[in-house]
Amino acid sequence: MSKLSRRDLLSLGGCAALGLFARSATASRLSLMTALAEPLAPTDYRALVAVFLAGGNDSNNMVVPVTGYSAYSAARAAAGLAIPQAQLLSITPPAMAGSVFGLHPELAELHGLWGQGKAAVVCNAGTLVEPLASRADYLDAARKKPYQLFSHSDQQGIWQTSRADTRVQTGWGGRIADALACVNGGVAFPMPVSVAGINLFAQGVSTRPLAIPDSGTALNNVFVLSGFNSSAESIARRASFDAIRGQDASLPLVKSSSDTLQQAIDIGALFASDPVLSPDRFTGLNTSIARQLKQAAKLIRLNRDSAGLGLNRQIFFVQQGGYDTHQNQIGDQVALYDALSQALNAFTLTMGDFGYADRVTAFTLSDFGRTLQPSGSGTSTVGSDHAWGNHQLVVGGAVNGGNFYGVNGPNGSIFPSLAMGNVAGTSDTDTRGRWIPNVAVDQYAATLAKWFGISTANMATVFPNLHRFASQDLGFMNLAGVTTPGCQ
Amino acid sequence: MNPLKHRRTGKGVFAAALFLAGSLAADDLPVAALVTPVASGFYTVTPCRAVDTRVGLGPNGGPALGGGEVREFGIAGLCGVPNSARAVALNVTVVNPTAAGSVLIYPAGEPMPLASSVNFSAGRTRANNSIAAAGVAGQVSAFCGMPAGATVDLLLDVVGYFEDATGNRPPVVLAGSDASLAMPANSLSLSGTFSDDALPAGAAYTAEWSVTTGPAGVSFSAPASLGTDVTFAAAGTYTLRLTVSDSDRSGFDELTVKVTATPQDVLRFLDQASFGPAPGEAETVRTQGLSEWIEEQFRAAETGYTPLAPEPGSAPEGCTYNTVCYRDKYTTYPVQNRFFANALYGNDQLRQKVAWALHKVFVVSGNDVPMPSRLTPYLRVLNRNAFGNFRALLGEITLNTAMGRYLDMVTSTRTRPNENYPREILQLFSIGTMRRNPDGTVQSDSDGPIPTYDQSIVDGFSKAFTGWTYAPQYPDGITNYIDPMVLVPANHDTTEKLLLRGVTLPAGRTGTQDLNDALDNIFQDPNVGPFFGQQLIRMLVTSNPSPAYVARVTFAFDDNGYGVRGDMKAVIRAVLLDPEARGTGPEAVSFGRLREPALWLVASLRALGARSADGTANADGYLNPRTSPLGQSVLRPPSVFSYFPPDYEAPGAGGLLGPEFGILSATTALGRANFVNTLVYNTSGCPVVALPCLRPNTDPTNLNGNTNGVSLGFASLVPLAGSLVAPDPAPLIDELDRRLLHGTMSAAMRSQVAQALNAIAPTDPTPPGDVLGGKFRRVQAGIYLVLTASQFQVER
Repeated sequence: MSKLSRRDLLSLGGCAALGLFARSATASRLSLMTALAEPLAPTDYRALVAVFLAGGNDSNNMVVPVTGYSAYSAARAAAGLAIPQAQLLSITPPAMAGSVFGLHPELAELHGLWGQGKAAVVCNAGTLVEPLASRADYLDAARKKPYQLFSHSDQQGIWQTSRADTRVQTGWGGRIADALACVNGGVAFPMPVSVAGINLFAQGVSTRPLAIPDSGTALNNVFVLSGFNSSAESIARRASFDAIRGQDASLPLVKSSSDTLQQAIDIGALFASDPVLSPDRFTGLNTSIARQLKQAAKLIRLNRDSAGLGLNRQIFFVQQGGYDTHQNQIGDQVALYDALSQALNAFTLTMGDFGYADRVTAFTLSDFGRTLQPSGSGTSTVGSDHAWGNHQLVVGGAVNGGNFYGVNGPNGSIFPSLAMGNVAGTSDTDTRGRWIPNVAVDQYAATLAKWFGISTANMATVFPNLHRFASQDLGFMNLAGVTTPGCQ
Repeated sequence: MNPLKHRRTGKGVFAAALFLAGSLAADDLPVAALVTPVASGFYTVTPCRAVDTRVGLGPNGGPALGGGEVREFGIAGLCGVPNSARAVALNVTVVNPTAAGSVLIYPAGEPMPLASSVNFSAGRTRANNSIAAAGVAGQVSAFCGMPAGATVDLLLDVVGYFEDATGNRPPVVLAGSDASLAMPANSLSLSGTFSDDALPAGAAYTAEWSVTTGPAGVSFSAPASLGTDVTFAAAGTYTLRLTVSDSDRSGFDELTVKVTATPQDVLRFLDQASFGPAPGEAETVRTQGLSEWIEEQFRAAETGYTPLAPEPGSAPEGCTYNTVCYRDKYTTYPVQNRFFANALYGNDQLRQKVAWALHKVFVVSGNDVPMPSRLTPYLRVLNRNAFGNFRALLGEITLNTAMGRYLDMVTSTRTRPNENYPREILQLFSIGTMRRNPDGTVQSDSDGPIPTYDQSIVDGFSKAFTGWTYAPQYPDGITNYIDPMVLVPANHDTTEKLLLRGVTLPAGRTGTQDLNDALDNIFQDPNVGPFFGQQLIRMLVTSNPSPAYVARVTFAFDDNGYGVRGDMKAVIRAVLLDPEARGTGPEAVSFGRLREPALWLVASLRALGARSADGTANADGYLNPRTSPLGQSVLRPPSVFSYFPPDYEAPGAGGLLGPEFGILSATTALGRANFVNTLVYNTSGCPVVALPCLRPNTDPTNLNGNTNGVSLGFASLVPLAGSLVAPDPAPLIDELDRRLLHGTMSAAMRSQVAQALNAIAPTDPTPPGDVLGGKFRRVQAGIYLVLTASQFQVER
């Protein structure tokens, strides 16, 4: 296929054309690239960046009601777990009809993004099998609840799979990639890339994520085949090594193994250079989350500019650990939120530098929220225990930012009442302030997936439990200009 | 024909006054002097279980015998014992006696003799031979000489019977001489004969050849003729039986045929049944026979994991983080080393290989239970039960404390029942979520696949499993992970429980009763055979077994040939000796399985005779840091779903399953090649100048692990690498093909390896410029190319 005809196909604009291309292209675009001198830029680029806050983020301290601060203060101040009202970074989400809230003081950069309409909060989201409208629903044995509530590994799994009813071995990131694989043409490069190891989120039925180290390793050092040099013996061995990889292709398992190694060698060739970010918005940031987001940014840049890539969709997974704050929460949260806020801000600025301001959306996931009632007391030791519903951050130019989103709970608001125990309007499962989620992981994820281009028809495949929930688009994404690829 | 073989029908051998039938009074001892001899003949039968009080209720079943009870069991008409039998030869076994005592077997309707048939103490299984005259209606009586309230289970296995030497006798059959075959020869002509007493008048004789023992895949060209050809699909030891009937009685004779596998098949077999063939091993096993090797392995002493003293859950002062003490007592380091050492050098290869497979099914992860003192009892359960019964394994693993901790049964109580273990024992350890046919295929109805259980059944098992917790602590408050969990009766839910297949456990029973019956309920489910059997096939032989293969393994699970369900030995034999795994079965393009990192690494090292870096000792097994970057940290699977999903499809393989592909990514595939490069080419830090190695680290304070390193047995290969006079590297390629690819290397691949090797002049070393020499570099290049090839990544 010539360069021109490829361009022609792409210029048709619709994804039906892309699908046609994908089906007709038997060779990977990698091999086509040898004949193409100039890079193919993505034509309809979008990226999702999952930021997993591992351990269970206590968002009770991330988003604090200022109007009605007393309920929060009453629960937490005595034990030393409350953020003083004066330190909170004030926000007034239109959805909350004049009520004032505050972000944690270390989220200064995110507060700035909020002001620019590039950051939103999704309130009280969590793992659900079916809607639970009240404490009575939760206590009703006949109503389905997620398996192993309050358990790290299980709740992490559900956040990544969106399947609160059963354990499955594919994540919703991976299933999105399965559905949209055609959009990336024949490029032999995985849509999902984890910068935090192999994980469930990015695993699909037919999609295998790529896992790469953070920016501490230059991209051109990630896939390097060792042990060959320019000696005649080495050249001969390398030639045989490469030739053997193409043999016995009639044996499907042998071929699958060979293809996987071939993919590594092809990616190694693509990662021939390490993109330089200019300006480098990550300068001075050396936290793990910053290095992971920087590596993701570099790969986005490489994809944009490099011959042989040019994917139209990418999914990234990064992770920040340390949120299991049973103790020392005040100090730990300062460090965690500071790192998170700075890294997400640098990443967002970098996307703007790339011309991708409204093309890339980052969003948080976490095991669960934490009890409003503190565990222990005293600023050096006080913390909180495993709970359930949790607020999430969504960041990027395509976000309808500066607002709260969600579903009304028992108190008639998208933001939960902070009343603990069996009282009117409570979301508490018991007496410690474990909020029954108003928003299911499925709804949160589906809103992102819709922006990413998943068709209505494919929503049920990607999110099998979504149909149980009334609202399937929470509205926090700006869908203007979104294409729903027809090839999926 | 083996003259010592006792399983023989014919009056010639035993006909005599061997047995004295007639009335036996209790005080008539010795009996021989007091009764009238009657000439009779002894006729053997295939050992056959006529009575088992452990199974079900019924005339020849449960319940167990009670102290002082006399019960009659009909034997005539069962197990080939004719109604005219005068006496039966029995193997009497007692199981689970709750007290010491004895059991007497004697003719029904006769006075009880004084002599007991078998004596036992409490809790002991005991067996004895016994000959009992058939009493009224062909029955024998059993008297239980135990205190009132005590019980014992009784098993009677018939091995033969006596019958008067008059009237129509069965034909006397001679099947022919024992024979042996060496594959690829796999066919033999049989020619049987018989003689008879010409009774009954006008007798019409029919003959039939059948297989008594041996692998599947035997076919007879004329099974109803005395002369027939027999063809064997797989190597093994077969017992063939010729039965001749005179239309009234029938007699039989058996012969043994030993079919020796091809060298290729033996190498493949050892790859499946062990951690890979070691140099020279295949020749021995080929002579010995595959079945015989398996039986020998069943008896081999266990290497396993040495019991460790209990340790406190938190490291005490002086054993803090970042010390050798901490590494050895609070991390999985020692047990991981032990795993690799056992795999590399243990003599109980089959047990270790099966135990590794069981670990991948019955998962406890060192991520959650890292302490060696806590993980070891779990690993010992797997080793101990690898050749036992699946029911016993289920029982032991359920009460294992590490499992209790990993899947929360240890905190499951009446008021807070925990669903975690009940859910996983059903979904992952025994039956799976979908109803299956014996051949492993999923049963569906109009709503799709039929589920095996629903939430109400999970609730039932959750309640049935409540009340178990840690056994009493050791001194200083050390939590007990050594002993099985114990019941706290007050924490057990005593309400009614719904189990599988509509079975309910009534209210008001003890936790032990509920646990045992709930486990029996799982064990008896018809899904266990296909679900577990399929997994074992995938882990040992091939990722995509045919339904017929799965069905054959299911039948072995359901009945080991002696009426016993869940006999692991029978299942293992069926998996490893199946025609689909042996002979030409593996030629199917879909055959094989991707070697997972740990098995890939160990098979490479075993095939190439790996030892320590200086070549003087066995390597010490510090290899987990090598497999961990390849996606497999041994004994630390990421979740109860094990290291990789059992139903993962190999990418681009047309829907073929390839579970191990779940952890083969671009990163780990490249990692394999780069590991081989280090293994074969690294010389940095090696103690012997001309011996590449994985570098040792013998500093005892090194927290990253002490290791004596690894080097391959290059020396045995160098002489095969050609010379300047005779430069052809074919002998080396042949040897690598044999050791690593079972001789399956294609001509095209051979040609590529030869090209690379021919680019290296086969010189001898000329230090200091060329320490290794061209011959050595040829060996390195050859090993590199085969170990990195997908043809080796996939075991087939």
